[in-house]
Amino acid sequence: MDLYARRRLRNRIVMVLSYAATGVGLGWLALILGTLLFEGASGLSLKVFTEMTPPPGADGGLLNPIKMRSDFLVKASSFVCESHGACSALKKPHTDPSFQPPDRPTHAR
Amino acid sequence: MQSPGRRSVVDVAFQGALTAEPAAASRARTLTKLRVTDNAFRHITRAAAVGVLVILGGVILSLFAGALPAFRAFGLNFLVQESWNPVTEKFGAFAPIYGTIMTSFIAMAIAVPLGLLITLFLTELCPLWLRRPIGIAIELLAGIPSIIYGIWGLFVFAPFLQQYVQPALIDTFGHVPVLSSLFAGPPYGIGVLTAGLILAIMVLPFVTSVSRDVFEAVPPVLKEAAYGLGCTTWEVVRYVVLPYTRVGVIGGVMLGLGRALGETMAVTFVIGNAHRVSSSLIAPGTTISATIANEFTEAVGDLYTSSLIALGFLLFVITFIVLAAARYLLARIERRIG
Repeated sequence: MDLYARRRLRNRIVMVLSYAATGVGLGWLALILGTLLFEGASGLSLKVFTEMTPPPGADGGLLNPIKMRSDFLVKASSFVCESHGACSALKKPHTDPSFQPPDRPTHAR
Repeated sequence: MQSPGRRSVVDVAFQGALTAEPAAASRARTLTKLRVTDNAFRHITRAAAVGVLVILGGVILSLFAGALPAFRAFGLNFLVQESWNPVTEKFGAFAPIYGTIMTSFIAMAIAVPLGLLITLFLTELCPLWLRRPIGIAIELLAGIPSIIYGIWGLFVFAPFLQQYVQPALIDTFGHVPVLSSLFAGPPYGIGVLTAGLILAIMVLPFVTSVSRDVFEAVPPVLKEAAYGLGCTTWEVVRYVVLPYTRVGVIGGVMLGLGRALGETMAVTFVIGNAHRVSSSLIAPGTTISATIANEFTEAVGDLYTSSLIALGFLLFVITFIVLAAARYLLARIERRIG
């Protein structure tokens, strides 16, 4: 096989692999989401969103965990991490002598 | 040509002293106030930055303090002993350490090539209008909570592996010298291989999205020059894009590796939670985080609890070593390129 054909073949192989890899990634996502939808849709009802968690065996909802997550945990955690993170990020340009703002040209090393 | 701010300072210094004293005093007051608030703000940001380090140090210290009884009782044997026996209170971390490293290794061995190929597709082959949807879909994989991966792995993926894939692997490689021990034993469905595969899917979006960002940062001129010389797409990616983006790609891989090492819930569902080291990839095993998640609530006795905390400390150390090694690698590459 001459050089030209070999390069073409190698390119072709990688291109096919690349299509296949994307197929695998998308297919996997579809599998998981599909399973969730098919298995989960039957369990959904209005009660799930409007009622507190029932005793075992009874019909009822998930309001408790949903509310807990959205109302309290997310707000509390984002308050702590955003305020703290932003402050510590601001710290760097103010006190670190080696820090250079990204929009200025870096000087010769 | 003076800026307004500059002139006001000059006023305070010279003219203010001679003539309009109240105005100068007011300016001086304002300047002092600005300096005070500025200082206060600087101290707040410094406290926040130091606070991050203090919290990190506190976590390390409390882990170490909690792990001390276990380290005292078992010494270095803790690292190499395989048995994990709550009844006789003999604990060794070898099986969880091995499981953690092995599952992460499998995950990276699959996710890195797969992720780079997807990136190649997204940046070179995919029609423009499809790039965004497909990119978002791949990144959606990162948005699926790990507990969903765990449930899906246990109820859908593991039975599939058990029925179709693992028997085929055992049949195919059963008589090949080295591979036969890698795929030995009955097909349970759950095990190190299953956990590695699930982890690979979880890590994939990290590798893909980071490497896509850096691939897109390659100057088109470089690629066009290579194409103009007659390079194939593969040669352009291999000899132009990858060398140019090496640092960023390694960063993405390390991000993924960090997730793979620490992943708890998904792995706990599918790894089988057996405290033993097996040469077979399809045998059940355990990881550090899976062991902690499984056993912490049931740990009775100080030594048991302490051993679990020691496991956590080891995970911390492993993650730290991996990240430090990655930093070192990056620094070396950067120095060589100049």
